[in-house]
Amino acid sequence: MPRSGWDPTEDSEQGTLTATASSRIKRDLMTIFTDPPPGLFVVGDELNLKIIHAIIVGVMDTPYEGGFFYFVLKCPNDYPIRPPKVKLMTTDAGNVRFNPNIYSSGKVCLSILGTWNGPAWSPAQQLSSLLLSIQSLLNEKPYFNEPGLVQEQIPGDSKRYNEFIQHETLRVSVCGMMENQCRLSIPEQLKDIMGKTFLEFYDQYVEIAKNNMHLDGTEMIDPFNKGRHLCHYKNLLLRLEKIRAKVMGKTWNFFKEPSCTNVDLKERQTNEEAKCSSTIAS
Amino acid sequence: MGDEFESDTVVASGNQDELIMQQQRQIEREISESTALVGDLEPIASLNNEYSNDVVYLEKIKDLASKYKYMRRTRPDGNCFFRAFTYAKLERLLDNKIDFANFYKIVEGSKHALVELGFPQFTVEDFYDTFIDVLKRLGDIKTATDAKKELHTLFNEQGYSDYMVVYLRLLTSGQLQRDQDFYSCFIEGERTVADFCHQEVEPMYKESDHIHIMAACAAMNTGVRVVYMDRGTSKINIEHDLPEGTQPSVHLLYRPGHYDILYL
Repeated sequence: MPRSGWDPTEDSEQGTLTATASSRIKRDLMTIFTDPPPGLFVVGDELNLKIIHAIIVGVMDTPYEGGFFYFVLKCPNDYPIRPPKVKLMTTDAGNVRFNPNIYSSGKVCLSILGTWNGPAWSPAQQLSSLLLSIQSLLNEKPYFNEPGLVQEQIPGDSKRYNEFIQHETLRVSVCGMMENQCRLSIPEQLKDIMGKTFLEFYDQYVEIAKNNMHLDGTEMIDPFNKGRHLCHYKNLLLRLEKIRAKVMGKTWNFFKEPSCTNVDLKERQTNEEAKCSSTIAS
Repeated sequence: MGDEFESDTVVASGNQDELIMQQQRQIEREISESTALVGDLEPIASLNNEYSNDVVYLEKIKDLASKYKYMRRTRPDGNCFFRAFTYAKLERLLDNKIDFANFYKIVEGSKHALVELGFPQFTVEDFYDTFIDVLKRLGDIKTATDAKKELHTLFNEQGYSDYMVVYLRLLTSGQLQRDQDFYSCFIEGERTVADFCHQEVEPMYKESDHIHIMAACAAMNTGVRVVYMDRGTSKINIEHDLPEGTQPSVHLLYRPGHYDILYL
């Protein structure tokens, strides 16, 4: 039977995975390890086989380029009969909606997750196909992901949305994630991947910041949300340089936080909310 | 940052959808807990209890009882056709070793055919392995009576039972896609056969229609008779053999939205 609620961190399903479910989860993970799709990294939770941690790296030539989007998945006891629940954790503590289909609460609207209309989950799907579907939401023109928007409401909306997303990607999902501003408990293996990927993308990050430097201090417009968002490219460039120095010097210790469960994490996030959102005026 | 757009439009309708979905799930859960995945044999007259004041249905139950001795109820969870069909087919096969062996061969060749159609090898394998495993377990049992008991036990274990359903859904989807020129005319609207399969066949809990039955029959090389029992004024239930002119080996009772198994 389908379950209610979308949030893996608030899922109330008790009990243990069926034997078929746990072997399927392991095989799902194994296929990603042996044949990793570009920009997609997963690791199973050390303590709970139901929980999967995933990082989707924003694809080149999209406004998400080089960003680290950290997702937590929870598989139901009868996986793959029913789909996992998925939450985007990279939201600047619930402050940034990165996509028309991915809310600032972390909810991912996708028919195969049962959170949107359209083709439902099929047991023939797997974790990699699910994550690829999510990755495809982070595309070149996310504005048009919004259902019913085949043309811009105001001319230029799509371009403005891209500018906003590009800035927030650098601010929240690159700098914020590397500095672990929101104290997320990201598994070590994924942090290592972030460190390496950061260096690979570093020139691009800098180029984006420099190309947009003329916008520094100006206001960005998010067509989907009212409120003021200021450009901080000058500041972002400084943060990028600092992070790079730390990663290169192997003194990259933003993550030396005691690990915590996802429930703890939710509370911590709330505590950290003020800090995290300080750069944005609302 | 106020998510105005989100809260005004998307989330508002999303929440309502979610509420409706939650309610629906609650109902589904209650049904699921009260009905076995596949029940025991019951006399046809057991249907009378459900329709004690319903003249139309009582007449039709009488008609049904003149042709069939027993029925076996299945859980009304949207998978009932696939579960009933697979169960009834296997149960029938257990009476004839040669038919069983022939069927085993059909299933053995089916995985490769699905992978060729583009289904991901390892997920297909998962369900195929279970299907074959069940066939082997049943085939190894000496007497038909014991094998049928095992069949009943396996089909009431959610894990096995659902995996059998999944594999038949995949086989049905494969059949539809392989013969899409034929099946496309049965699909309403703009949808392609592949779209239809992704939306209506492969996902669990999606109810089955005529087109699912046709394709499932073709995939399993089986004839089925569906007896339709509904509110129509005729005193006799309408019967439909699929494929047409077939000698049916599986008999199913259809009441709006649900399939059970019938026994001559």
